[in-house]
Amino acid sequence: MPVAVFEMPDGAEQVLDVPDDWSLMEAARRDGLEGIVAECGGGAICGTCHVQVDPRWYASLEAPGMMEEALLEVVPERCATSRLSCQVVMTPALDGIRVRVPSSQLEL
Amino acid sequence: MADLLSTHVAIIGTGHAGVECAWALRAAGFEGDIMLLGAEPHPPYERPPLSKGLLTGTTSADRIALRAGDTYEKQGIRYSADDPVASIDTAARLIHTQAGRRIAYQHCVLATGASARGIAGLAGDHVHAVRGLDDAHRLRDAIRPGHRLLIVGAGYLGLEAACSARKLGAEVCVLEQQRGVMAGKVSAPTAERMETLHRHAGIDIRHGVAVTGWQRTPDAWRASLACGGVVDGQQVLVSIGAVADTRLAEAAGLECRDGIVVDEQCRASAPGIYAIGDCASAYRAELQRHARVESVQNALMQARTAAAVIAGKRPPAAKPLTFWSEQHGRRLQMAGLVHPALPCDDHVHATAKGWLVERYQQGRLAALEAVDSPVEFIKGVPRIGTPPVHV
Repeated sequence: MPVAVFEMPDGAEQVLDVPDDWSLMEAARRDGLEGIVAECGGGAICGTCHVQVDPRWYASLEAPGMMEEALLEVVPERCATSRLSCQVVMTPALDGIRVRVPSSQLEL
Repeated sequence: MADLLSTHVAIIGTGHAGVECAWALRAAGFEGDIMLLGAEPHPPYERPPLSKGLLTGTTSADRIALRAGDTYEKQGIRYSADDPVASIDTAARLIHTQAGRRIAYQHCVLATGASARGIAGLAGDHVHAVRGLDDAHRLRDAIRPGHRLLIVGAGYLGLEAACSARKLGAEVCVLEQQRGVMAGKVSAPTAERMETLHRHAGIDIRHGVAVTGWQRTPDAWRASLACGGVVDGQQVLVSIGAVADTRLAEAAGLECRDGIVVDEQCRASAPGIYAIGDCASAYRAELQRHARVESVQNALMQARTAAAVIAGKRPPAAKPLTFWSEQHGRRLQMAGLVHPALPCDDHVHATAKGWLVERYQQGRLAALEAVDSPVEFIKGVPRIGTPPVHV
């Protein structure tokens, strides 16, 4: 099964199995990963599943939709490779993708 | 002699609140034993999709699981399913389950949720509620293209189920006693606009309609209306609100008034007992009274609060309550509570994709509604409780 590597604010790494066609948020929630709150269940409306994608992987992702783009404008610790993990859907090409959980996510 | 187990924390109920509380305890550094006691046979799952994606089939039971099966063990959380708690002895700090287990605890968190309110005389194979996974599967199997689903109650759940049933090709008629849809929950402008969407989707919404009786005909349920006339449906969904599951708490002698009464730290009226989520009635300063709140965000917040108190950490800062719904592909987000007895001054603003309603009471922003406007919503929530901004 493809995996995604989540780097936590304290530097610890968590390697999660992500079935094809599942979002990174779904996999993180299933594992109970701290900091991926996903209050809205994955609708790109609450902005509580923000991750910073490793720049080497960012270009492999489809561009964010308008709603996600707008939400990324208002999340704390936004960077050039920020995404909502509920909108990043696993494909075979993304096996091994690395993302960082911003520390502000732990305070939600 | 029945098994005697012991744990530092026993959490009764495995919805969003119960599961989050177990994880929040670990996140807070709590190292003691945690037991998560489930009454249902299913592993813990998300409830919001039950009336939406799970009903229409765009998602499935395995995808709405809250946690993967092996994560409980990894976190050192002893999860058990299918064994409802029978009673709690708060003096002896002992839980008895229906299967005969006895569990000694130091802290007991009640996260028992709420059950669908029923209608007297309306029961049986063709009558539905949507609170659990089995309910949703049963309703889904009963919905047939061309058959009519009668929905009693035009709240969030009833309207979401109406959209789902319509997508599956059913005829849908919604009966609501009050004037307007989502009465008392959203502003009149939002209610009217959402009602228009439902009508355009072919849903027959009748509000301000009282049902005086139910009769079983050979192939349908027939509702008699106070205004005269009848309406038939092969299936009936009752969505007229939920009642807090306080049976255990009441039998244990805990103070209950439409929910288990708790303080701002989620402590109930006996030592070592907490209540969180849909079953808990906490003091709400904005309403100047205790109230139950049914919302995922509230369940998560109360779960983290109880976990922090048990772990001896500082509870998270209070935040405005938020709610959301999805109807006909439009996303409705709400924040804050409106005091039902006070007048409300609603300001509607058009946004790029939808609209925003600021709801003022006594000169302060009491609540916010946003349809397809998540950015405006996120920016607006911190203003709840403050006077209007004059530009």
